[in-house]
Amino acid sequence: MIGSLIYYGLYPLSQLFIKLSESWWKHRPVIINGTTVCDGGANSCRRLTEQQTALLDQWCNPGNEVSETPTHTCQERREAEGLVDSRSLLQIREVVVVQKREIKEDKEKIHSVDLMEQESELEWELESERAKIQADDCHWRSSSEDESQGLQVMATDTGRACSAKPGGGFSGLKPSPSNALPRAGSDNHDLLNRPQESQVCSKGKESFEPTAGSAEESGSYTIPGPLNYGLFTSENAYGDDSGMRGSEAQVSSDSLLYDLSAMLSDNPAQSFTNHTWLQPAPAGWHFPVGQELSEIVYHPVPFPGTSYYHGLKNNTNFEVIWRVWEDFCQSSIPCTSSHTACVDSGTKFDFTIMSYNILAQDLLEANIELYTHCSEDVLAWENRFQNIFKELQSWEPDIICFQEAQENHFHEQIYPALIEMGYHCMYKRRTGSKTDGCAVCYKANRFKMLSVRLLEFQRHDSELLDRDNVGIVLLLQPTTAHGEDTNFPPICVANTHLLFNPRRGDVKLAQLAIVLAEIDSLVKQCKLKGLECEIILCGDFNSLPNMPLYQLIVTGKLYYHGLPNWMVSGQEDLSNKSHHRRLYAPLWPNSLGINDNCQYYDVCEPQSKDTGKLHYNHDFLRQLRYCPAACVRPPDLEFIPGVTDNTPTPEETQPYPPRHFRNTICHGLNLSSVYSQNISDTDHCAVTTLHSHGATMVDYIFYSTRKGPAWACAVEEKRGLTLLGRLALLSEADLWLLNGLPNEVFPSDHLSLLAKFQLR
Amino acid sequence: MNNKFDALKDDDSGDHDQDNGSPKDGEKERSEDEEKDQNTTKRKAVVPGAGEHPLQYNYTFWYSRRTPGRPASTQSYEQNIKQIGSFASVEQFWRFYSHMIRPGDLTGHSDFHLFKEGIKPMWEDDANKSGGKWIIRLRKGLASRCWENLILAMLGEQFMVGEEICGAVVSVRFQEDIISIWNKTASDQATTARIRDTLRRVLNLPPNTIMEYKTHTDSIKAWEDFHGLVNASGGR
Repeated sequence: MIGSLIYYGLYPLSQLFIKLSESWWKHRPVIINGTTVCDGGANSCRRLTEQQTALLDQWCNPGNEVSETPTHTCQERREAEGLVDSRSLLQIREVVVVQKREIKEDKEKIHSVDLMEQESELEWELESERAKIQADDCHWRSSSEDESQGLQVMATDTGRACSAKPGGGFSGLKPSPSNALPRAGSDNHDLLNRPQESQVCSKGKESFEPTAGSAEESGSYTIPGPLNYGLFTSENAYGDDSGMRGSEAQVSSDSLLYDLSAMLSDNPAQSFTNHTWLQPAPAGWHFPVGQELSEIVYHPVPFPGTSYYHGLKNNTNFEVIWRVWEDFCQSSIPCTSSHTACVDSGTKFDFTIMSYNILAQDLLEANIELYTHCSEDVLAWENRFQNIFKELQSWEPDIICFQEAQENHFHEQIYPALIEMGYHCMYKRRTGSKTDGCAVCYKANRFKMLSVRLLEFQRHDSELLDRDNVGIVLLLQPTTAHGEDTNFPPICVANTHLLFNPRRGDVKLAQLAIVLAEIDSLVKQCKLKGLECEIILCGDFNSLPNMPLYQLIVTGKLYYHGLPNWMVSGQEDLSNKSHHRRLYAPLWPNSLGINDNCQYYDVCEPQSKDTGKLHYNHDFLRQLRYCPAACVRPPDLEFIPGVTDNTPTPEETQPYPPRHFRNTICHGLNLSSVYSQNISDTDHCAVTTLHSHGATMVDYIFYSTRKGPAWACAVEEKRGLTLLGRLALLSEADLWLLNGLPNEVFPSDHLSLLAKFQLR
Repeated sequence: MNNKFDALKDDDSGDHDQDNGSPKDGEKERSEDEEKDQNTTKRKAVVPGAGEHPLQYNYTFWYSRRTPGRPASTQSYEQNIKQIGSFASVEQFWRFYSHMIRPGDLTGHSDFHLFKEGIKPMWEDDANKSGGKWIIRLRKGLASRCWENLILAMLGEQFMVGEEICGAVVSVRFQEDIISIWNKTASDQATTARIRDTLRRVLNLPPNTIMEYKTHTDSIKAWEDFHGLVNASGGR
């Protein structure tokens, strides 16, 4: 019944559309099995009237941030409840699945696709290299589609996908109907808590079952190789069917009758009655996916839009890749299909590094109010662990930096699993009563550990450093099949999780200074051995991009005098608070032994350089200031009142006189961030963490660069680290479409960060 | 011949009072003898203590203060300049330094001098006579920090100009404070440039700070001109 409604709704539209817009479609090729095809006549095709277009344009204005759009009130939703049935039906529509172009052996599939092409009598452009949906010229492009450009949907044969990438994937949607594909309108998580909304959901599930069932029938979902492109579409972008939806508004759930003329109506008043709320964060291209759809739907004549899927039936699995691998270097493409293909080339050493805050279960339970949008299943540690493990398996990073690794979980589950996979791990629990900590794991066949420092930021003699955060700094020597290869410089890998408290920027800075000083001292150690060591600093910094703490890391300098404490991280805007503490010199006590350049005081004996002179730097000299020998009054010192009558006391009026003279702290590590504030080619903010209180980017991977732009992948011999690629982040809107974090796909309230580097 | 301690009458201070003692030649000789006595009898050559960190050179602290009124006598002159003590190691340096008042807390018209042992803080010393100095004028409140940074850089041999450095002076005045560092060869531009750059670095000077290099020859001339004007009886 419902299906027939859809059919009636879709068929005339698609027929009309196909006839009218052959040329239009030519510009939007979709590739399956390396062949450019199109979801001909899929119900995403709409011809809009001028008014509708105008309104959509307005709605889809790029400036119209998705986060601002959930303006629809509860009242509105209630009014629109009558639409629930038809709306939930639309959820069935899911994803067009596109095969990665490398995978070509599936002739059968190609054939079926070709058949469909013939059926639809459309000419498709074949030359398109990637299955990029060129939606730029679409009037009805949804606002967040920008994000999805370059994201594609993949269909992968199970067997092939498995062989291409053992371990399967982590980011696929599960086929089970009970775990509910992203719900329309659920961009606002409050939705789930409302009674009428649960009704919506249950109805939605009902109508959803056939599709889900068919998906199950076709076997388990798998993930293509990690470096593939995938489209991110299951968000049921309603943005492209406003015309239809407008008419749906007239149909009550009781009568279940569609007025076709109304469906095609140009009447804007009708069309947009419920437009705003029906259009939750439109994003991505949207296609019907269920193979069985055509069987549910009664259709007297062949319907190209659904027949398309017959070709994929039985031998195809669907997978939605939520996160895209972004390659920065064309030259590295041959390497992308395999992690090890060009590893041992002698002069280049490619490796991947992941930074992942996996959300300690104890913290989750202690802050459960942050996860009210999540089901219990999603929050259960066993489920989360399985997903985390799957994620690790699918990417197999050469280095993994964990934050919030709970000690018992790490030792009992994560560590044994990683050992099996060939990792060596270093773990540092937070101090005090905290049960979680940081860990760094590395592939033992790729690296040899030269040294490790487990950092505690807690100082008993300091009011400032009374927090329990920790860090790990490792020095790793890349090794190759030929054994230890000293052609490559060692890599200093630092991992930390700075204090969360948004009001304590002072603590964060001091903690960061400890990490930077440790890195610096390792770098200096290497220099003594004549090695130029590379640096990767990653972790959860609990600070936003371009805020002062971040600025300090990437620019190497921060003028802090008078800076409000909360502003350091910028997690919350507390400027409305009447009294905020501000930063003044000294930022941290001298007892920390760290100077303004985020370096440890040089406590080494002076080295006689070639001049044969005894050189001492200021730090060294000051170390001896209050040594016992210096506190004795010289016997021959004449007592002159007001001149030589001083008494040395360590607490002098200027405890840190010269250090903070400029009210500036610096470091000389020359670091760049792998991730930028926005998702590539969009103005949508990328986020690395999301919970009920907001979504932000607080996790980073920083790496040392040697002059020149970060991703200038010049062919010329360039020493140091080159960023080859990264796993793209998502926007807040994207994540809410998955019901926020954690969810069935992403097991933590943070996303994993993954970068690939080349070391020369 | 000029007074050995002309340098103390820092013409850069903007205070050109002739009050600063201009002892007769005989008196000057006497004071020199006294100094020698001091150095040879009371103060043996300083050496680093056991386990201490030796410095490349031994240094001597001096203190001078302009006494109110006209310092006509030898005694008043001797009150103007005092050797505070010499040291040979980092620890010994701190021992003196820690028991001395910070320059910023000095009262009146006072100077601290820190010169290599054997070099007197005056233009006419053999080590200084063809030399010059970098002068940095500081607003009130900065002298203590800058002075400490300056002398630590000097003691730690951070200027990297070989034997060129002679000593450093901080002059506390009413409106401002002045720090200066003296080197041997005013005509050696490479050296003076390197000293300037090191100063900027170690003192963390604001970019707009004005640094002035002045040869001692010019200083002497300026002093003579001034002195000739106001005290023609000097006859030089």
